Amino acid sequence: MVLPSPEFLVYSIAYGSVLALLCIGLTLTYMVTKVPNFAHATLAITGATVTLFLLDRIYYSLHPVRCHGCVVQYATLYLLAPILAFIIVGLVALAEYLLVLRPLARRGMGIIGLMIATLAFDMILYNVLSLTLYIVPAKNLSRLMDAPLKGFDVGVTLAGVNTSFSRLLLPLVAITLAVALHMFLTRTKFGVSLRASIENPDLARVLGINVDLAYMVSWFLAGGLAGASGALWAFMIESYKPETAYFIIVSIFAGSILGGLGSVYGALVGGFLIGLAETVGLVITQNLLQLLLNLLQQLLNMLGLTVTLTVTVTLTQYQRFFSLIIVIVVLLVAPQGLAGINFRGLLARGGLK
Amino acid sequence: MDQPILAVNSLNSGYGKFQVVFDVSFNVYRNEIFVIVGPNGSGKSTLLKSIFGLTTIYSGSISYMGKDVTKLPPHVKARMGIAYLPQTDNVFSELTVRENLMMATYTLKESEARDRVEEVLKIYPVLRNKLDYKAKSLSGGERQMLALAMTLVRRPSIIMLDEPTANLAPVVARDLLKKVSILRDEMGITVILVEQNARAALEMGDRALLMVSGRVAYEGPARSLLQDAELGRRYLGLR
Repeated sequence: MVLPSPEFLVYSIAYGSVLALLCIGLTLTYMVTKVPNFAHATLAITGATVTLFLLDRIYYSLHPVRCHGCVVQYATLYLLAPILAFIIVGLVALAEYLLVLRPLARRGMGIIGLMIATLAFDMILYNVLSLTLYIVPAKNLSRLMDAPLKGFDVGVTLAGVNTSFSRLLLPLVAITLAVALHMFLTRTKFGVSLRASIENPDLARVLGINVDLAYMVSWFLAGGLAGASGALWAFMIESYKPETAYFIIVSIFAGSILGGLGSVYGALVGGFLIGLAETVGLVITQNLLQLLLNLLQQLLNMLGLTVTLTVTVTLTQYQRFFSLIIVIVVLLVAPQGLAGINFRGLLARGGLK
Repeated sequence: MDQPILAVNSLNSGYGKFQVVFDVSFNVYRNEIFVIVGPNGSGKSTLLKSIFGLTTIYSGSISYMGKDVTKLPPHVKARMGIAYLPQTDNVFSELTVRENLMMATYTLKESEARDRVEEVLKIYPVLRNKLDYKAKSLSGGERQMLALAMTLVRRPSIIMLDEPTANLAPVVARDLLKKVSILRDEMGITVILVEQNARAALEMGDRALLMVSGRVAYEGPARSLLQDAELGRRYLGLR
């Protein structure tokens, strides 16, 4: 069987949704400050930390004996956690802009310096998160950190597919937030002013637009998206560790570069595609590899050679490597990413339009 | 003479540590067309940007209607009634004409903004049919019309035009300069005009400032500068 199981497909779509939201945020901040924010993945982990602390508060009430209907408990996990994470992480991202990037940019620091500044902020945030886990009084943190948080996710069977509530919720949250962002950017005066401020800040100032406020809102939104997606992503990671950020940042950059780094819509598609490539793509590659080896084995058997060929490497361990290859190919073939491809022209050339 | 609407005193400004404008002083009075001319690189555009708060000001002062506005940010100056039309990139290419006009009326209430947009669409009817087109799809002349419409829609007291005829066909440029007189005569707007076509600008201007290497080489009636053969030949290419 070359295709992965339906359960794995649902997981892939949920993971793609997380990446899509994270790529939108990274691209938004890149468009505003022209600096890639290396702290973006740690912002997502900060969102996961919000879920962790809320779980800590309701840990005992989730016990089957005490859990009568569990409406309040699960509303806390699936509704309150993303909303709280959106606000808290939005403020953290805003602080990164106001306390680190804006003052340095005003002093004339170049892009390399600002990039290193985001790395420094990333390290500070990582250490603050690690410290918080020890300082904040919490009863069940050690238990929660050892056990995968997915154990607290509600199991759901849909059309014969066994999955969990958070995995079904994530694509819906991604679509809702992406549509809300689109409406905000195109239908509201402030949203249009944000696009105007990104395209030509000097002209925006000339027209009386408070560009600085627009930039602050962009950073808050980017952080908010990272926080909300991170809060639900907590149920998908094996065990909570702040250093998980260092792995997913590669995927976030891959998705954003694939999207073109200049379009939030490109980032949405780029992030989702990288999510699928890192999961479904790898499984299909692995299965195809096994299929090829089976064919080779049969051929050798027909020639009278008795050998057994199996793939002993699990490719899923190398999912970031897969992302990096995609980044290299995109930079070589279409440096402006998906947003730079003239799809209408391609369709017209292919006689499809 | 009356109280000046804009007064610039001993202004020194530039970009970061790179000084471009040196000790420039002049007054602009209500309802006049004040022309700034000078050779390329003389600091004319930088002077306008400095007045609007888009450069670094090292020393000197700028006052508007008697109030010190030297350190005010551009969006505050815009809200006070000062308008500035940059030479290039004066429309948002990725936004539609409608969105561009929406941004131009950003500081106004919705009902007032709607009325004002209707007004400018009467002046530039060609834009009405292109409201949902992205600005990047407009021709050079249409883009300039949109840029002027975006400036006029805010009914400024003073408007600073930075080479509005740059890169336009001669016929379109002539037409556009005629409209500059209309701004003063029919709309009562004070105009500061930076223009490469020195003769055309000085013919329509009331007073003029000649800038050379970031400093003031002449300030006075526009006609006198036009008739000054020496200055005209040396700095403006006039014969």
